[in-house]
Amino acid sequence: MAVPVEGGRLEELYLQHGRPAFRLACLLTGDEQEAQDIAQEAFVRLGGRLVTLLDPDRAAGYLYRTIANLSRDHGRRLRRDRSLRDRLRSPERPVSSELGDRDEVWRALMRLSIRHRTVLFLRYYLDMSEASAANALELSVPATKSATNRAAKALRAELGGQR
Amino acid sequence: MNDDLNISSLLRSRLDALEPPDSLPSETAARAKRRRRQSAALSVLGLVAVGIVAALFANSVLGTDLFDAAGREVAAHRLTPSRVAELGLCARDDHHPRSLINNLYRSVLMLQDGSDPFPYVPVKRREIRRISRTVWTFRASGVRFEARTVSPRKDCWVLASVTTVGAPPPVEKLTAEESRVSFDLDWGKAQSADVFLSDRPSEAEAAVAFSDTPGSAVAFSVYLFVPTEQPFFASVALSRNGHVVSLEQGWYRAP
Repeated sequence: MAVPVEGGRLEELYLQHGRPAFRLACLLTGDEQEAQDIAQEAFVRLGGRLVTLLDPDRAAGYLYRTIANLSRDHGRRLRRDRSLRDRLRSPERPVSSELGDRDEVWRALMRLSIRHRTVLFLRYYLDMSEASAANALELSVPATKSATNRAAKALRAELGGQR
Repeated sequence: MNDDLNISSLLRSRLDALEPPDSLPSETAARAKRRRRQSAALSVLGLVAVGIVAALFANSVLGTDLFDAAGREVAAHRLTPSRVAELGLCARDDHHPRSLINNLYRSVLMLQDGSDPFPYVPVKRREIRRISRTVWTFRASGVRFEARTVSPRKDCWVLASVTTVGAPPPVEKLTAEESRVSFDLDWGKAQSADVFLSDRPSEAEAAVAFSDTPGSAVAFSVYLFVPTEQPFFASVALSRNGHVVSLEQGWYRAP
């Protein structure tokens, strides 16, 4: 069901960025269900900031940054849960929606840091320019370039280590 | 670049198949609106908090604690009497060094005629809640006097000053060792020495040495400034040639 919000602007942004936002969340969490929740939460936060985020590029940057931050929080929560489960010696929670064991490449991606996955996604999946990626990550262009190189190197190392 | 293409295709092959819901869940708009209102409310609260902090800061620096801030500047030796004069803070008595400081502290200490050579009358102003003083008079004859004042309160300021009476004796030395202040007095112009402030607000020390000049007198005045009406404890010690000759301590109240 489509939702008209803020003169349809949020919906418009969802149509434009909903798919990549969801996919970024999938890449960062490795869980489709969590990715849906995180993407929705990111749009909620974006909706709360629409008054100040008039520039579409800035809005998109805010959205991707929020997804990265929420995914990081999710990762921390997951680690806490695992630690608690380990202490209680309870069995692992079955997660039907995990994308985890799809293939070797996916596992290699999952071993990268959130920042590395985010920068790879922005630069290689969305084909963002260095300037746009830098804006989304709130980094300088040189720092973004350096992060991209490090992320690509890390991925190559992960894949090389597997082979 | 081959690597770039590989990473792009790797990502595409794994992410393109993932499809989000066609539209945002229905409660998204309502949640976004709620969030926006909360943000606005927090912004207003933040502004109010910043305003309160700014007002408190302004009050502490410019209001009742003005003398305290100024005293720190004097104590840090950034504000010399000549600088004070430049700033227009000295208007009362240009030839009297202490008046520079007195004006700075928004207090008026006036020398009165009469038998008592040290009837400094502190005139309370609104900015200063409390002024107290202790005055000693000694016959000076080739001795060295030191006055040391300590108050356990950290929000009070202590000033030690020295004044000579009678024929101005030649001064050999006039220092406040611990506060690392040294003044050369121009005895031809003034009979009064200067005010010493320590680097630490609750302590002050002044020292002076005279050659043999019978008939002259010296007084140490210790002023305690506290920014509250509450009684406060302080001790004042006066020593001559290194030996304590007078020790006064107790609770002080506003006059």
